[in-house]
Amino acid sequence: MLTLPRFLLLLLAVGMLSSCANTPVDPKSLPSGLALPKGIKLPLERGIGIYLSAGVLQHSEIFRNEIIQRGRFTREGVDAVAKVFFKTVDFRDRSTKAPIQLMLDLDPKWKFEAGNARLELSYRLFDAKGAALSSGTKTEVLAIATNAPNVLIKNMVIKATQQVMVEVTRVPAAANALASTTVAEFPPRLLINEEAPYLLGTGFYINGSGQLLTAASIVKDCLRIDVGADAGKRSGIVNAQSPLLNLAILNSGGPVTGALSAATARPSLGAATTSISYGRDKDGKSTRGLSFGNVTGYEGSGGAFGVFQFSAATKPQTVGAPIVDPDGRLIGVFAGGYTYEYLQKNSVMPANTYQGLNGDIVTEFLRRNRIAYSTEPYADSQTPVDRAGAATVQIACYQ
Amino acid sequence: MNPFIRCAAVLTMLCGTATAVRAEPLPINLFVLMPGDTAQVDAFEERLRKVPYLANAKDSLAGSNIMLTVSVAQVPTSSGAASSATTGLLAASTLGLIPTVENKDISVYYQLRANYITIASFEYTKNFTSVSNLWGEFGKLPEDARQWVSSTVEQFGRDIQANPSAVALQAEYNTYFAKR
Repeated sequence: MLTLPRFLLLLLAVGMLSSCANTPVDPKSLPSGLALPKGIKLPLERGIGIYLSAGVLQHSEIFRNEIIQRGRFTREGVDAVAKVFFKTVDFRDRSTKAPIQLMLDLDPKWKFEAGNARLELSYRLFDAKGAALSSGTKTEVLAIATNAPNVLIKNMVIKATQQVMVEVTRVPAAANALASTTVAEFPPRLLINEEAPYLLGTGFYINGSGQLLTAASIVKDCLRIDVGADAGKRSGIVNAQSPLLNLAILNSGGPVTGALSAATARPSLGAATTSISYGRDKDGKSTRGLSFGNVTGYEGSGGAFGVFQFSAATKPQTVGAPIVDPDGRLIGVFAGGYTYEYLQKNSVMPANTYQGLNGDIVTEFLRRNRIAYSTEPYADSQTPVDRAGAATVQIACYQ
Repeated sequence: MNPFIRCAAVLTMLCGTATAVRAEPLPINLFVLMPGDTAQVDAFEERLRKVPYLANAKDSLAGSNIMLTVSVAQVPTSSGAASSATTGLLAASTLGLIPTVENKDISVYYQLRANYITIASFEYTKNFTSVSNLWGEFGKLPEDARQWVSSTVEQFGRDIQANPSAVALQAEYNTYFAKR
């Protein structure tokens, strides 16, 4: 039975636990059980570059009516510890062009379950010439008993990074490294997480030079963009982009056949639409999907602009998918950015109805960026599925 | 052509062009995350909409792909956490007669995004010490902090108008979508 003394003890325990979780950890103070190798004095007279992917740095989420800036506090935690261990610290995304002798690639993975937060911080250490020196994973687990979740995130990152940095000091080459480079000059291909693409989307060829249209949100901050898959895979480089329209042009460096031609007139209401898109199944494998529908409106819902509405039994899997008419001519792009579940749940938009960026906005974007495209009818006869299928490819962003 | 007419034609074209396109504020989906009751959040949103850049910002524009997120975070300082723990123990042992004392950094974040791509973000932080009763509403901002949070709107209004990326976004929107 919960008597008054027991209740007070419980309150004290909760208060102490909560205040411990709320207290910022001192990055200079190593926890017990974690010791530096003999003879190591901090900070090391070396420069270290640090890579945290854009996806990690920009991550934020809503928790208990507050935005948890996981990315920002991850950076702050890593930075605080790195500056204790190294004289010079330079992050790849905010480079000061300082000379570095080591490059550290960090990849944090978080799990929140059963009242605990679990951080697995994987690391790879390279010297300035790109030789791999060390790798591993350090884990930190803490009960989520806090009213300051950003402090919890930062504290856990500090503790895990301390473990990583102590391992770094154990690598003889780390303390003795002499060759220098800068974070900008360090080969980005060595930092890419090859386990899986960070983002998967759809793109389509817009002219015979191999230029593609895709969604800007897919190709932002990638270390490598793969256009297509398997034997036909190419590298993509961003030529132009518009976050407002969620469009981007990629150069893929080679001639292609089967680029889409743009329609010159607005599709009529009821006109059939076809869309091909690439996505991922629950096992992470790439999937290609077809979406058939009809144009149902020329206006967006809930404040959307520059869009038309189409209904389809299945939603295009990813943004950047072309929407073509029965002749296979481009009438729009599935550019996303709309919370369909919210719009449909609140009866702002009917179920199975989606929005595509108007074709005339797409062609204006191409014109403004001086990208060649065709409006000519096709010389041969193909179904819209074959036409769109020949032009559409998977776009994979690696960070 | 008569030079005078040519000059007049050019001027008319220029003046006509200038008046033909009406610059419009961006349609922005407004998302305010703030501890407090609905009336306080509504008042804050009303103050936000007086910022010229946000003249067309509403929390009902869920279909717009431009979003402004405003959130408030309370981060205890090291000394603040210690005093909170100490006074918290005292409060618990006196059944709430002694209030808890907390020292926190309160931060207001404004983040403007288009299609989930961050265009501009602003942060304003101030340190506050508050005295609260053990049985009071958990997490509610003290009055002076609430007033300070509201006052960041005007600074944000100046900052966003001076931010090149935010200005470029508005200009691009008017390029494609301004009514002619």
